Amino acid sequence: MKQSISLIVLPKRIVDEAIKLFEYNLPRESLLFLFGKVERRSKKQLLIATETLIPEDKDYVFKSQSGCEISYKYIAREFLGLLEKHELVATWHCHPIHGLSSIDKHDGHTVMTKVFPNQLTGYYNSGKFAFYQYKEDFEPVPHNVVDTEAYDRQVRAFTEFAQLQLASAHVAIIGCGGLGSQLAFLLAQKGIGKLTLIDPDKWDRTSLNRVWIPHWCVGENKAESLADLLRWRDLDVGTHPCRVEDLAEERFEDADILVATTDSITGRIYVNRLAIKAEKPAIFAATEIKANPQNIEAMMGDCLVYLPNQTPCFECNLSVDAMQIARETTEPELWKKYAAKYGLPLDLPPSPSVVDLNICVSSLVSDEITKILTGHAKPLHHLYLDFLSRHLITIEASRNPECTACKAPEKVELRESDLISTEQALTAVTRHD
Amino acid sequence: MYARIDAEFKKLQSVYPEATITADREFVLIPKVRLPSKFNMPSTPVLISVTPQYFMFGVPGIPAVYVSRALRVRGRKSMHLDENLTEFEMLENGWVKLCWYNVSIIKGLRELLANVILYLERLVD
Repeated sequence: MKQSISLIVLPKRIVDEAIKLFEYNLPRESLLFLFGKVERRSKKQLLIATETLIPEDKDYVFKSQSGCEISYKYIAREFLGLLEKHELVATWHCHPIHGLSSIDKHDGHTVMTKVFPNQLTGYYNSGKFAFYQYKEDFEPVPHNVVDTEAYDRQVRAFTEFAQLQLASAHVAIIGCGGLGSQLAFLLAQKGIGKLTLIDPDKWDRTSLNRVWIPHWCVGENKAESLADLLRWRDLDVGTHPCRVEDLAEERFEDADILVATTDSITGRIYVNRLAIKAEKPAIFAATEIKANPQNIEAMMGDCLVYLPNQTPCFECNLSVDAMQIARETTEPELWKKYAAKYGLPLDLPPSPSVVDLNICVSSLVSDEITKILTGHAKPLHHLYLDFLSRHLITIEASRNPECTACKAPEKVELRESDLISTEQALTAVTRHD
Repeated sequence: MYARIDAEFKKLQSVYPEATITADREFVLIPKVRLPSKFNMPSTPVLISVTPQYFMFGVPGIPAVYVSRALRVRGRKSMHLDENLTEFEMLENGWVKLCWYNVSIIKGLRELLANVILYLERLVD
């Protein structure tokens, strides 16, 4: 069975070119072939168009108001060169009716689909266009038009194709504090197509030193107010003003990369488990400053990239403070009782944080995201930044074969005698006594 | 869905063959865990409440562990087996919760039980 196409991505210059062509030719039907590449990301299949092929009038066998036919000689001659580097991603045409006509659904169009199974059929009329894939019937495929010219300087570095890859990507940022918010701004500037921001906390006055938010955002939820700011750049931003652990896995189905910038250890572990389960890349980033009243002892940044089945996971070499886990996983009311009984702090004092370090680490994370999405360089597994001495260290780590997170559980069958009812479990102590 | 917890349970059973688990995988019961002589009983059942996070994702945490409410250390109720911190339903059934906020990270059921035994051995007041 043919895999579904999730999206067709095309630069605005191609759309402008197509509209110009179609408007000039209407009401007679004319064709435009879109070439590009198929991009596979976890469960999604994207078509990214970067080249056009426009037949001239002499290349048509006939061209009328109700149909047209291109000569096979033309296809044989022109397609060969292009197919060495690209795939045919869509055959786009115009006609005087909206949507696909009955002739479009006739064998004529499906012949191309048999030769080029991933190609879409597109139509244009009166400024409106749409693309369809043929499975058992024609099904609409959403399109994303990207103004790559606005990213001209970046395109000169990464290529237009890479820009389209970024524009069709969806990054979920878990934790929108000092680090996560800087990262969200960077990704928006870079042209990432969709962001999902997750954070249950609200900004307070002390956030203003490290996040460029207007003062009226103080008191608002971090994820939601940040999304409002990012939407000024017409970015598609989704928000979840809650803890990541409270979100169902399905919420992340569409995300291409998960980024954990939260300081909650259970939140990071949850993201790690999600990434392993869904086989998605994930990045774990953090900053830490150790300071006393006399001086700053250390300023550190950390960026760990997890690539499914390639690199160690977040938990492979993790060592964490048990007290932190206990505090985060114990019900607040129960923790209050523990705190009162054993003289424990109810909450930790806020950690020091400065904007310079956050920007540095978020830049590293943003670049690793670009590498993962575009493949222009190999992502580095673990980067450690010593901000005081300006040292950037690459840490080589190996997978822990006994890791409880990424080691696949052994398949075991329980016997019937192993299983008891809840009532049997709860009343076991009375039987024992 | 239960693969991870079932694998953990089997590992625990290799040490405690009499261990059982509820069909919904919410509780693991070890009917008899031997105790040092400072306790008033030679053994206690141990009930482990597998937290939803652990249950679904195997996320390490500090799972709730219960022992017999009748346990006494050198004839006295232990302050670390605190009835005030135990849920009413569990108390009613004769369980008391281990107050072990400071144990190390627990990544598996077998390791968890080893921690329980160590904790009970070290209990002095």
